[in-house]
Amino acid sequence: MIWKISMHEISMLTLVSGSVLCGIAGIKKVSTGVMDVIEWELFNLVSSSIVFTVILDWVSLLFMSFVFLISGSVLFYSGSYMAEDKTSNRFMYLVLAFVLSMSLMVLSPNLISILLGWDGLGLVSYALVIYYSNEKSANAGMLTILSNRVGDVAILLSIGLMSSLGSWNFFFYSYYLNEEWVLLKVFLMISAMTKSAQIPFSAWLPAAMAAPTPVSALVHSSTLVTAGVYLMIRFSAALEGSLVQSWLLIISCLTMFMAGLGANFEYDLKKIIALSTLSQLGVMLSILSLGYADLAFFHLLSHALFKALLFMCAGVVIHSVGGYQDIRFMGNLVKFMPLTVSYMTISNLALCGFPFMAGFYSKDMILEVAFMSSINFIALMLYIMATGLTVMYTMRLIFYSISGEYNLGSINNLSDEDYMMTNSMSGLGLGAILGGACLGWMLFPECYMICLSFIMKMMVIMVSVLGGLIGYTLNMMSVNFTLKSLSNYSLIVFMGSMWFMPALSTLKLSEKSLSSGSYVEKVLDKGWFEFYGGQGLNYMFSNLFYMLNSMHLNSVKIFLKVAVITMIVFMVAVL
Amino acid sequence: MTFPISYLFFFLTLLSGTTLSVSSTSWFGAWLGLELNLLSFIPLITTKLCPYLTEAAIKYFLIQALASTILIMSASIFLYAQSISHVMILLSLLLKLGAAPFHFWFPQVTEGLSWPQAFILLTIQKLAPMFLISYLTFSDTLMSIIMFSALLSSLVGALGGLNMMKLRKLMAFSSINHMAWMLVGIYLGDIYWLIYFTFYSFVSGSVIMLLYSTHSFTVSNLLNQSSKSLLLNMFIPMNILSLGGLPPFLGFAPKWIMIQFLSANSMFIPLLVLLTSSLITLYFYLRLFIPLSLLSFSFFISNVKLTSLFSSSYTLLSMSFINIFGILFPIPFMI
Repeated sequence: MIWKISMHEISMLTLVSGSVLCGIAGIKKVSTGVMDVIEWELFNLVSSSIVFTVILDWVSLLFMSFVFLISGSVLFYSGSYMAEDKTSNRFMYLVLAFVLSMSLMVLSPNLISILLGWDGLGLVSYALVIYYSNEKSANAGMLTILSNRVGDVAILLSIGLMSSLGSWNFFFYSYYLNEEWVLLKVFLMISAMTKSAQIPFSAWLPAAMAAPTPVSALVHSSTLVTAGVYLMIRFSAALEGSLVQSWLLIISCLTMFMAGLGANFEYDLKKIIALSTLSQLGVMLSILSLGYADLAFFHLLSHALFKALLFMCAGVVIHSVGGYQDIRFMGNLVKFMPLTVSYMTISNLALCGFPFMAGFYSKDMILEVAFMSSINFIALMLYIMATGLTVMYTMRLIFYSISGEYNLGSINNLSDEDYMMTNSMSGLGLGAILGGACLGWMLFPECYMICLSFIMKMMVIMVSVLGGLIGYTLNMMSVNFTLKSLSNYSLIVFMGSMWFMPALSTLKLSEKSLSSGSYVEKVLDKGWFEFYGGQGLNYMFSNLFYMLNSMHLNSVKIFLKVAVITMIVFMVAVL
Repeated sequence: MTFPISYLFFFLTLLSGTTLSVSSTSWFGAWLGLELNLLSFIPLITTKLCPYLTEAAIKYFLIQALASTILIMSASIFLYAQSISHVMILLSLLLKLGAAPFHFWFPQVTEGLSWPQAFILLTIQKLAPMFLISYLTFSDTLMSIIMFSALLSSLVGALGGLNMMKLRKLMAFSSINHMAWMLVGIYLGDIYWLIYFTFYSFVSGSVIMLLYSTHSFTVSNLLNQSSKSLLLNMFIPMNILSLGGLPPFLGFAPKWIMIQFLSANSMFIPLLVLLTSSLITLYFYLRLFIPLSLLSFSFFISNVKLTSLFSSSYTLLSMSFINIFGILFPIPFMI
């Protein structure tokens, strides 16, 4: 019992001290520009050495520092969130296993040893998504693990491709891979796309919201979904100037737009935040595919801070309204839980890129660099619209839950006084305000030169203000308003359902494969294979046995005759 | 095991008959040795006045006498018609051996014997004809007859034992199947069949000792043993699998050697036939012990007496041990 009480505290202490340690080491690496590589050769197979690589440079160490900080906060937070759960210890161990897999993934960017963390992430995320053992979470878990499995297979295939190079340290080889290695690049891009839920594989990310909220805070801010971005950051040198880069640009811009659009039609609090994560992942991958991997990493870190905070606030809200996740049941929460709502607003504004919040430094820079670089018109339009949509769904969320009308029942338990949750949020709240600026000063000691026309320079602000106004006003309702959206019902369904992706990746996919599977089973496994396979062979052999047995059950007289006749036949045949 | 004192004498003459026929320089000497061997095996069979033993002895005598007659007859026309003589000698030796087209008597005779005598029939009695056949490998005709007989034996041995519920008949068919490997070994060269024969004698001896010590003559006898001993439940399946030639056990070693040399000599079609029939034999070996090992629950009975089987027989224990783990110490066996 003592263990159960203190588990979250111990984990928090350990992880936060690990975070401080990694952070200090990371800052030292940034300032000296040194990279430490440790290689442990497991065995050598036909001059290809299988090694376990540990790379300690500023990227991995800073990333580790953020992962540890966020997971420490989240574990402390779940000490209260999961306190009444029967198996909260199992939950803690699973989260710790998740952090372990993530650190293995971050520290060893070798195509073989990354599998240890990569598959670990998939497995533990499955175990966490199905944590509330009900049908919905089981389905969501299956969708999650199978989508991630596609990426695992892509990594396995690229291991096969890279075996001709004699080593799997793609981090070093990525500088020397020319266009002939397009298949390898495509495979690695696919695996990154599955983990980061880019467009054909997007369905699992909102579905994975079936997990407990602390898990969402950890998984969808800094760990699981950013694994794909991290892989691409490590592999970015190979993407430079290749065809794969422009494919990734289009896919990530589309994801960014699709997620922003979908979030405007969603009513589930956690799913809105999940879709905003998806949109931000699109931002990271798109700037990465424009060739600015360091900006992608910058946004990854600052996004991790405010998105974890946002999820934790959402968890507090869900906890205190009694388990509802539908934002139409919330409203005017600012009167009841001011601290939580302040944190939520801070992180929301950081997400929109409100000036001098964490998101501003990374996102504004990303947008301006993207506007400045030579991209095509579609990608540019998608960028602009997605920026507006982000502010739009954020303002909509603020309207529905924070301000607006009070919609909950008259008996409620809204309060702000759970010290564990609020304390664990306060560290991240500080990060959501200061993190972007500090990281920006640290990672980019020299300025980016941005040269834009006035229109383009003001574009972000204009679009944001416009989006915010639309998002806040369009959702105001009254009984005497006519519901215009019903006249465009099909379009609304299309946009609100993530472009039919969940249906396409679950129902349609499994329908076809299951029906063909049952057909094959009926015709082949239980049909022809059985007839000509096991049973048929058994029948044939048994018939032969009966024939032989009837020969063997004769008298010696006949055996003697048969022997003599056989000999005569042999003699005749031979001579 | 108790046996009359005459057993010792006849066993001595049996071995000397084998030695005589193997080491003689003429077919007459070989015939003499075979006759001595035959005539001393008959009293070994009929240790008791029992109708089954007598019947087996008579059957064995008639067949072997026919084979010996043909052998001495064709040896005597050796100078007159050389090629006929060789082929007929080979065929008569195949009859003595019980190889495929002449195998009909073999399961019946084995069925009538008790386990130690069956062991002699399956191993020692094969030695002399097999050696004599290995002297008859100088022409293409003879070689192709040997190969034909080998492939037929492998199929007959595999298919004949398929639905067999009687253990001695089953051992006879498995012996016919193993004989096919040995005949192919003769085709390859002298050393291969000798290696195979050594391993086969050891492995089948180990299995026969186990079956003898449990007094099992049918599959259901074997099943009734299952509640008695934990070690038995463990050792019988492993010994039988070793006889079937499953890789971790000793019985795989000679097959491994044969597979290696057959594929080195590009004899893939004989190899295919041999391996296919081995697979079928493995199927009936599996059926032999699956009721014993899977359908009985003595593994879960806590008060099983572990000493009931092996308290008296260290030979049995050590033979089974070598049979199971022998392949792990390969150096003494790689001749």
